[in-house]
Amino acid sequence: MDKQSRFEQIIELMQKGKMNEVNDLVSAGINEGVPAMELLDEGLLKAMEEVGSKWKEGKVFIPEVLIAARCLNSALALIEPELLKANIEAKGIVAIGTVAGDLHDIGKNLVALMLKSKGFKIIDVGTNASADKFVKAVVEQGANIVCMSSLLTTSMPNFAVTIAALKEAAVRDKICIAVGGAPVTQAFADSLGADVFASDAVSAAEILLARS
Amino acid sequence: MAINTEKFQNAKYLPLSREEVIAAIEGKGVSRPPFTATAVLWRPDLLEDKEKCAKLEKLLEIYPEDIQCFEYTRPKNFGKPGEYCWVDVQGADPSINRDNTESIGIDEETACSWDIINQIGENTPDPWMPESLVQDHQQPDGRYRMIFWTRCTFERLWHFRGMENTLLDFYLEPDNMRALLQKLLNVYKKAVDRAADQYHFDGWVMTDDIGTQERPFFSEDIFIEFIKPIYQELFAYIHQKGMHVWLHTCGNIEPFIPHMIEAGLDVLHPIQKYTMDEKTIIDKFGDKICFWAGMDVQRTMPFGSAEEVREEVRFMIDNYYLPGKGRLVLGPGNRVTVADISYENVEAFLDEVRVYGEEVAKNQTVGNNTSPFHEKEKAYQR
Repeated sequence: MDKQSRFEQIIELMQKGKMNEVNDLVSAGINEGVPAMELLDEGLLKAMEEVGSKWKEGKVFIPEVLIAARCLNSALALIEPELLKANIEAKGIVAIGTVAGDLHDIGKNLVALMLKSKGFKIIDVGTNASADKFVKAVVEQGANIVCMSSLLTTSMPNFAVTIAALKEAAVRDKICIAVGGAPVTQAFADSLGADVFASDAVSAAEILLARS
Repeated sequence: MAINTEKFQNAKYLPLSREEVIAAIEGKGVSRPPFTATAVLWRPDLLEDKEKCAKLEKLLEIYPEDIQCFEYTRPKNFGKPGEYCWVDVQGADPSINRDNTESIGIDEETACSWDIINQIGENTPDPWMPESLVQDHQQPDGRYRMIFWTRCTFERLWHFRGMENTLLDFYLEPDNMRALLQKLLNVYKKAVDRAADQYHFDGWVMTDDIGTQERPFFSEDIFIEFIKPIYQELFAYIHQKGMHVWLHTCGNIEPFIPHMIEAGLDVLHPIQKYTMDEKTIIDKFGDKICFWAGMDVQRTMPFGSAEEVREEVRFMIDNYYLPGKGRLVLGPGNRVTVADISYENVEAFLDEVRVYGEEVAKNQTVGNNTSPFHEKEKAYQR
């Protein structure tokens, strides 16, 4: 099978959620000497890019993103050892979480998924995450991007609390801070001094990729 | 039955009668749009500030709701056979031997395997168990009476399986999903039986959040294949028992509304602010359904002034109220503890619903008020 046909098949099958078939194509590609980076960029990530475009057009929904992401995660496990051999670095390290006082994580998980599909390394600090957790992810694990979200209006003040803690730890100016969530607006992001506001997961990943 | 006026001695506005609310729902005219907020939507009792809680409770005596709300107790997630629970299979609870399990919807904290789900007892949970109904002692007082069963189809599925699993299951486990939904339908029919036969409620309210801020959780195809058949059968059963069907779903669910109407839905809540264009919704579906329009609790109520709250109420009534018919009930858009909403804004909300509602109904014409937060993005001032 030529490389282009293989990539096209991967792209098509990922959108149908055919995990085993995608894995077979990726494994065969590795065995036949197709560079891991090409399998990633031209196959797996291109498929996610198509899913992202369809999402923006309102043609696909969360289940379709998830079945493609499930294929991506499974195939990444096959490809990652090859990427390590080739010494390929992540696009950035993202500490992502829902701010203190908020347990809602669907949006946060979607953003993490889309960032992963763009080649970012994800440190998920979870829901109801204290400012300290974000700071630790930056200081101890080298995150250079902090993504925070909230669904509740009552937890919104904790964006500022977290940013204050990052300033206190003298890391604020070294990182990019992105905020989002249902009640969050560009005006609110501006008032916080955040670097990025995004209204949905696909836009968040696109904006952060463009800045990386 | 007339309104029991003795019960509402402190009321500035007496509640509407059961008959008037029915007429409003069915588009047969009413003296003002009904208002209801309590049960699962309005929870000042959850406030840490007990003084504010007491003041707000007092406010509801001045502006009593037009509907008496009741709620089925939510069965606990896990239990033993014979208990009021969703999963009565031994060792099924994923939190056993784990610390810090505090969330729902996170797969590893709630997910049951399909093998476990398929072992759940036939009569689990049983809505006829004594502990299933709360607020059992509110006597009829002349108002419309309705009962909530929360988290029905999609919401219930992800309480069993976790959110991500559930969304994947539509593709990976369709047969198991259909079988589980059918089992749920049988539980809900028993709940409906109790609501109608024992308590003679007028309305059955179900909650089923299937929309996100920007779009539904899943496609119209998935809705038609999995959810709509359950709605159709359940709604027909509820009607057969003489009750209206009310449905709450958060988020943008515009593509599903025609299917909900086709399935027989009577009242839809809340057309969540900023997720859909409410003018488009009323243009498309205006006289086909009654809207329990939800007040904006994400911006106007917490961050607006009392005058902006009144403006928003006037905008909502102008948009949703059908002169001469009604087809509008008012309430908060989503659950609020009122923690970040001022007393003045709550009072403005409750008052304007009556003041402007009566004016519009009397004049049989609506105005052209605009929504204060809709066009302009305001910086939040806390």
